Amino acid sequence: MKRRGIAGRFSETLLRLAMRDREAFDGLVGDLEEEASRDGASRRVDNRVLVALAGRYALDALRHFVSSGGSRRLAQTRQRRRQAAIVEDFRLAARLLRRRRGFAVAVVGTLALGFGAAGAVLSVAYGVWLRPLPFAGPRDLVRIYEVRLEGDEGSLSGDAPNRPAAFDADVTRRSRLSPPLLHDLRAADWASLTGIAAVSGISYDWERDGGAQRISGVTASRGVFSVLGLEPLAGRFFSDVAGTREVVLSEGLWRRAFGAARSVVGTDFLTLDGERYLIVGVAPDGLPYPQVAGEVWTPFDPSGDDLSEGMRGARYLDVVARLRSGADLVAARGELDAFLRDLGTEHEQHAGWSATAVSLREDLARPFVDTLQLLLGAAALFLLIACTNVAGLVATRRIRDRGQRELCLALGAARARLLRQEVAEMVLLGAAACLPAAAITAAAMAPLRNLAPADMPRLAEIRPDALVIGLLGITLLAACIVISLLGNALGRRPQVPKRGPHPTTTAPTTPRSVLMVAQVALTTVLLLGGAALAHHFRGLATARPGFNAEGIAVAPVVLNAYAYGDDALRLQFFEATIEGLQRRGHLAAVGVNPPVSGSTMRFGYRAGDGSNVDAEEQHWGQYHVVSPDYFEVLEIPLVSGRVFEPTDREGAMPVVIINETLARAHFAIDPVGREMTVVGTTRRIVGVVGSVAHFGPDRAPPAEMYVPLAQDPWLLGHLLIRPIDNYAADDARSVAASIDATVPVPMLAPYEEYLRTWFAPLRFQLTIVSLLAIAGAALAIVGLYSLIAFVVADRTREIGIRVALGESAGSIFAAVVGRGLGLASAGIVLGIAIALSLRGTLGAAGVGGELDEPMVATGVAAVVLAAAFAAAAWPARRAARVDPVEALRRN
Amino acid sequence: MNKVSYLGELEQMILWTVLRLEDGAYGLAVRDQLEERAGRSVARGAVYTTLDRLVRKGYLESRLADADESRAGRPRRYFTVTAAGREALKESRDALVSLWSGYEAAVEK
Repeated sequence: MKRRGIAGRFSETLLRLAMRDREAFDGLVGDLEEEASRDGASRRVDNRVLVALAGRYALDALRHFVSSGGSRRLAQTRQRRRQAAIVEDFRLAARLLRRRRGFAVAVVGTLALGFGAAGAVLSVAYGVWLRPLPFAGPRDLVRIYEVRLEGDEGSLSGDAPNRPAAFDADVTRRSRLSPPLLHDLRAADWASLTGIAAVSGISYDWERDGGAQRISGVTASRGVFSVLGLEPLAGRFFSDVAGTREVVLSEGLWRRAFGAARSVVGTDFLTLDGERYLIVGVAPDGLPYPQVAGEVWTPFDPSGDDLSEGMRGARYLDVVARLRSGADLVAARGELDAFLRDLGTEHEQHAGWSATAVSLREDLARPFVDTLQLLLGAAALFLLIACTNVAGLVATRRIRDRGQRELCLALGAARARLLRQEVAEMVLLGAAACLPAAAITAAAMAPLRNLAPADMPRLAEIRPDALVIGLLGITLLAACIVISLLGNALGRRPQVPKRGPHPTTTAPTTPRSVLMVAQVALTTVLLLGGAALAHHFRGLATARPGFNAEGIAVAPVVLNAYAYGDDALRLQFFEATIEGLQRRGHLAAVGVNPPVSGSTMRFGYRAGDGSNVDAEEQHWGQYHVVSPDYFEVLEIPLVSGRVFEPTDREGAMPVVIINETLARAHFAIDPVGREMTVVGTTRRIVGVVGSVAHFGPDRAPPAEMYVPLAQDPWLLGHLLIRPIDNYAADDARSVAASIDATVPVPMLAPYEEYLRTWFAPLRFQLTIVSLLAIAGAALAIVGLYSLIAFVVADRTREIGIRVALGESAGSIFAAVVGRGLGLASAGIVLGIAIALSLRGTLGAAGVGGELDEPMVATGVAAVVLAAAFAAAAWPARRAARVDPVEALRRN
Repeated sequence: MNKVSYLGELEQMILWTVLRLEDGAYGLAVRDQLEERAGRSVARGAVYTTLDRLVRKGYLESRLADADESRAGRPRRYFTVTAAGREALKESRDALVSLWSGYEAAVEK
C-alpha cells in the first residue's frame, strides 16, 4: 500500500478493530486500493475514507448488538417500537453531539486516554501473570519445592512458628530438588500428582566441522514433554528407555543449523561433549517454561553417583508435575509434606524439610507480582482521574443545557425520555472512545515490552488480548452510564447565587467543585506514589552495597566437565588466566557466586564460640569460592585477620573468611583463629570482611563464607577485572586462548550491568507510574482550568457589576485564584490522607516508608499548588480585565 | 434460521446484484453495478456493511482469491448467494409483486 505513516497505520488499525473479520478487512482494503489505482496510478487511499468506514462498521456493530440483545426477551412489536425509540435516541444524541464537537472530542479523548492506558497495563499484567500457560491443561501444572522448616540465614531469630503452612509462603525457604529426592518422588505412588519431571540448565561443547562450539541446553526427565503436554514440531520426543543418547533440537537451532530439514530427524547425530546423540525430534521455541533457554534438550538419566546419599543436599533440579484430575494443591501439599516427613526420618539431609507444590503459572510470575500490582493500582487511579474529569465536563454540559432542557419539559417531553437521551449521548461517546482506546493499548505494547525488565517471564506473550479489550469495553460503557447519571444529578440542581460582598463568599459551591477536589486528590495520590518510588529508587541507587562495582569488567566462564574433570586442571586454568591478566597490568580475580549477579548458593554451616550460640546447630549462608585478589578487586573491606594468600592451597590447612553478618551472629568476640564447619569440612577462620548486599541493595546482607579457589576449584567462575586500560577484553580473550583455545570467554561486560538488571523492575515501575502521574496531573490541571474558566464566564455580569462598583482588578484576580487554590488544597489534603491509608499496599512494593519523608509530601503538595495556581491564573486574569460596560450589555 | 426474515431495500438490491454478477461479485464490482443500475452513488460503508450483514445472516458466502499488484497484494473477496439467500430474495419479490398487484387498475380509474 502506498499510504503509510502514523496516521495511515492508525486509521487502518481503527478499521481492522471495527471490522473484526480479517478476511472482510483484507477484501475491503484491497477494493479501496484497486479503486484508487483505477482512478490514477498515483492516487492513494484516503485516510479519511478508512476512518469513515471504521465509524460505519462500529455503528453497525452497535446496532447489531442492540437489536440482537433484546430480541429474545421481548415480543416482536414491542421490541421494534423500543428499538426504534433507542435508535431515535442515538440519532438525536449524535445530532446534538455534532453541534458540540469540542465537548465530544474532549470526552472521547479523555476516556480513550484513561481506558487505553488501563488497557495497556492490564494487558501486561494479564500476559505475564494471569493468562493460562501455553501448555495443554495449564491449570494442572505445578512446581515442586523442598521447604526448609527450621533455622534461617545467619540470623538467630528462631522464633517463627514451626508450621509448614507458614513456611510454604516464605519463598526464601524454598529450594529446588536434589536428584535422589526426585528419584524417590518418581518412584512413589501419588493420589494427587502424576508425571513428575525435572529440568536443569546445562552447556555442551558441540563438535562440528572439526571445531567445537559451546551451546546451552536443557537436560530434562524423559517424561517432561508429556507432563507439559507439548507436541513435537518434527519427529518425536525422548523414548522411555533410560541410557539411550537422544537429543531434541530447539526450533531455533533446527532452523539455523539444519535449515529446518526434516531429514535430519531420526538419522543425524550431534556430538556433544564427545558423545554421539541421535536427533529424535524438534521442540517448539518461546516456551515460558523452563526458564533456562536451551538450544538442545537432552534426557536426564541420573547415574549411580547422582543418586548417592551425598547428593541429597545438591538441590538444583527444577521440578514440575501435573495434578491428577480432581486433585488440588492442598491435597498435593498434604501428600508431599507427609512424604518428606517420612523421608526425613531415614535421611539426615531431609530432616527438618518439607515439600510443597505451587501453581507453575503463579510461580513464574511471582517475582514480578508486586510490580504488576503496583502498576495496576496506578492505572486504576489514572482511570478514575479520567472518569472524574469526564464527569466534570458532563456536569458543566448539563448546567449549560439547563435552559434547553426546561424548554423541552415545558413542551411536554417526559423526564425519563430526556434522561434516556442523555445516557444515549454518553454511551455514544463511550462507544466512540472504544476504538481509539484499543488503538492506544495496541500502540503501547511494543514500548512496554522494551521497557519491561528483560527477565520478566512471558514478555513475548504480551498483546492486546481480546478478553482484556472486551472487559475494558464493557467497563467503559458501564462507566459512561454511571458518569452520565452522576453528571446529570450534579448538573441539574439549579444554581442559586447568594448575594454577598465578595466573589469567593457568594460563589455557589457547584457540584463540579466536589469532582474537582476528588480529581486533585486522586492526582495527589498518584504523584505521591511516583515521588515515593523515585525517592526509594534514588535511595537504593546511592546506597553503598558493600562493594564497588564501578569500573569492573566481568565475564562468566564455564569449563567443560569432561575436559576439566580434574580439580588441578581447573585451578591451573583459572590461576594461569589471572596471572596472565595481572602480568598485563590489570587487577584480576575469579569468584564463584559474586553479589547481585543473580546467582545464589545457600550452603549449610555450623559455627559458634559457645558463648551464646549452639555451635552444633546447622545454619545457612552464601558460599563463595574466590581467588586471593577477589576482595581487592571488588573493594570489599577487610575487618580483621587477613585475606587469602597463595599458600592457602589444597593440602594446607582448610581456611575460610566470613563476613561481619556471620561473625556478629555467632561470635561474641573476634572469630579469627576459631574453627567452623562449612559443608562438612572444618575450616579455620582467617579473616572477617565487610558484608555485601548479595541479593541487591534493598535486602539485608546474608551470612557469607569465602573459601579459597585453590582449595575448592569449580567448573564455573566469574572473571572479575579492574582494568588499567581499554584492552582488558582483548587481553582476557588472548590470555584464555593461550591457555586453552577451546574455552569460550564471553564478552566482558561492566559489572554495573548486574546492578542495572537488578534495578530494572524498579525502573519499570517508576517510569510507568511517573508517566501515569504526569498524565493524570495534566488532566486534573486542565479540569481545574476549565472549571475556573466556566465559573468566570458564567459570572461575567456579576464581575462587571463589581468592577463598576469600584472593586479593584487585583482583588478580583485574588478571589478567582483563591478559589482555585482552595479547591486544590482540599484535594491535596484528601489525597495525602488517602495515600497514607494505602501505606500498607505501597509497603508491599517496598515504598511505604518513603511516604513519611516530609520532602516527598511537601514536594508533591508544592507542585500541585503551583500547577493549580497556573491553571487558575489564566481565567483570573480574564476576570480582572472584565469591562463593566461590555459585561452588562452582553447579558 | 428457520424463518426467512424481512429483507431491506438495499439488502434486496445487493442480493440481486451478487446473483447477477455470478462469479465476478466482489465488493467493488457490486458497488459499480449498483451505481450503474440505480443511477446514483451508493455509500461505500453501506454496501460493505450490508454485504457483511448478509454473510452473517447466511444469505451470502464469501471466499478470497485474485490478489494482485493493483490491490497492494490483497485478495478480492468474492460473494455467492446461498440457497437461503435465493429463498429470501424470492419471498421478498413475491411479497412486493402481490403488494403491487392491481396498481395499474387503481391508477387508471
